[in-house]
Amino acid sequence: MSYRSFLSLCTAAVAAALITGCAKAPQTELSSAKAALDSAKAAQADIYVAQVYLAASDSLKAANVEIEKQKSSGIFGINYDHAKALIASANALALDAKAKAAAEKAKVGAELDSLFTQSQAMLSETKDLLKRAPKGKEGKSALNAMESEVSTTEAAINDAKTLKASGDFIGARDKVNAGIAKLDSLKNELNTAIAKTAKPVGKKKK
Amino acid sequence: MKTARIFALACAPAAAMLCLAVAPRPPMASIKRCQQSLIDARNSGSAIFAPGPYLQADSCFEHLLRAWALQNSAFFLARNFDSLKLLAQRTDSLARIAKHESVGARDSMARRVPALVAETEQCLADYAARYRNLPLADTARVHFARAAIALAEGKAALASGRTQDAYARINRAHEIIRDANDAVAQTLSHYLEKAAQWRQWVAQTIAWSGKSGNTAIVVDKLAHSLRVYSCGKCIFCARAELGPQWLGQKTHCGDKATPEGRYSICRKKNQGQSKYYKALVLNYPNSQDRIAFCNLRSAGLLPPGASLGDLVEIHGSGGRGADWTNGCIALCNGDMKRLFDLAEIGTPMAIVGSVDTGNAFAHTTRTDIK
Repeated sequence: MSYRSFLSLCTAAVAAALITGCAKAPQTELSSAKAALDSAKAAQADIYVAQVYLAASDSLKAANVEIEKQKSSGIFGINYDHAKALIASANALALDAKAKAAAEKAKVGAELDSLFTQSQAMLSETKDLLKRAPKGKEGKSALNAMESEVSTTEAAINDAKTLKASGDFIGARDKVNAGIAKLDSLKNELNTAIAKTAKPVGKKKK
Repeated sequence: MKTARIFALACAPAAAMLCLAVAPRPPMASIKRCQQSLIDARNSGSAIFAPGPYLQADSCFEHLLRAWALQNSAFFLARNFDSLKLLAQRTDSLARIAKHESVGARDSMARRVPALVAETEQCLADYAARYRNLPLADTARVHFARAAIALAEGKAALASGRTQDAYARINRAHEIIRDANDAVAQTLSHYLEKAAQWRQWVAQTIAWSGKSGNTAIVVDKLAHSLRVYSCGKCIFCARAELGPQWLGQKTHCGDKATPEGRYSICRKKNQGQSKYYKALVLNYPNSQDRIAFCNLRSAGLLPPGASLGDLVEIHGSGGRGADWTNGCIALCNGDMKRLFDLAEIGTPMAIVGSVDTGNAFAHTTRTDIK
């Protein structure tokens, strides 16, 4: 081998090393996937579709490890293909998580609206029962006490509305459902109290 | 010269191979292991059940990635991955601790939650059965409603698998209702401080009946009972309804409280003479009531213009299932008729908070007297 050939070989080797060793890490794709994951979290994907969100998060972490692994592999043989595939997967999962979370949240939101309507109707009914209850001496204190329970329940339903406004749809759903259950028991109790108070009034008229 | 060229040709790849061979390598096995441990910890619910060690492990792993990137930015022969190995080991260790703690906490919570639900439901049932009919401030009902709502929220969270959230809410419900029950128990205990005096009044009244062979009446406010004694033996028992603020001594007119003390029947009102079927008028206020009223007025503990009041009766038109009188004792008409026939003018009576103070709490339930 001539000296010229040796120099050519060395140049080719250095060029190859430069081409492969200095291959650029997929930083733009990584940033884009990270932004997609952040966006999914902002859409509460970690609450509504936790499994999909966590899969996206795991893929992104694995991509980070793969990139650093490739960077550490020396100046020869750096290959970001696997890292790029992981990033693409993370990105797709994050977008999917965001879309599914939005759909699920919209579903819970619609359910909440219906529950709020139901609770409002029950609240009006209960208040109406309180108004219609005979105001005799025997029932007055019981009715006063029940009034305070109705107010507490109304406050809980209003808290649920605040929770919904702040984006906590699941907490709001639990609270409004609890309020509805309480209103139901109050209505029953009120009807019983009305029945009790109504009895002697009837007797008196006789 | 030619030999030197051949030597250089042979040495160049060898040197390159040597450089690659001696170049520091990251601890991939440790990194993979700690990464897996972190995933295992998270999947076991560590973020919720053992947030301390889990967040530390996660932060340690982030630190590892930063340290790795920093080393990768250096010349490949000058890199040092020793710190990475230490960080990987620390991450792994913390993640394993997080998983262990999480599994323990989750199991413990899974055991505790049903017990806490049962205990809270029992407290609510106790409150509803024992205390809801006591003349308590409206805040007591507010506590009851808040606890019931928090419990329902907790049960909903439990049903949807949010154990930690469920536990927090059920625990809150338990605290509210337990505090409410404790406050009522304290009020009752305070009320029962006069028990010795009440026992004395009852014993003296029954003893008088036994000694004289005449009729005497004992009213137990907590038990809502009126008992008639003849020759020292109970011959008649009826359910009594009182003033809505019966838990305490009557202090002035319009306080809706039924008085406590030793009295006697001073007048009998037959049908047509009373608004409430028939009535036995008590000699309220007695001398002790007058003294107590003067003391309270001197201490400024009565509303301006408050008077002592009178016309406390045992009358009919009861049986309404509530404490509704202005401080009188109401019986259903059948019981009133019987009592009216048994009692005479001068019949002594004792009105006490509770006769059986040892079992006073049981009397707070509204079980009808047969």
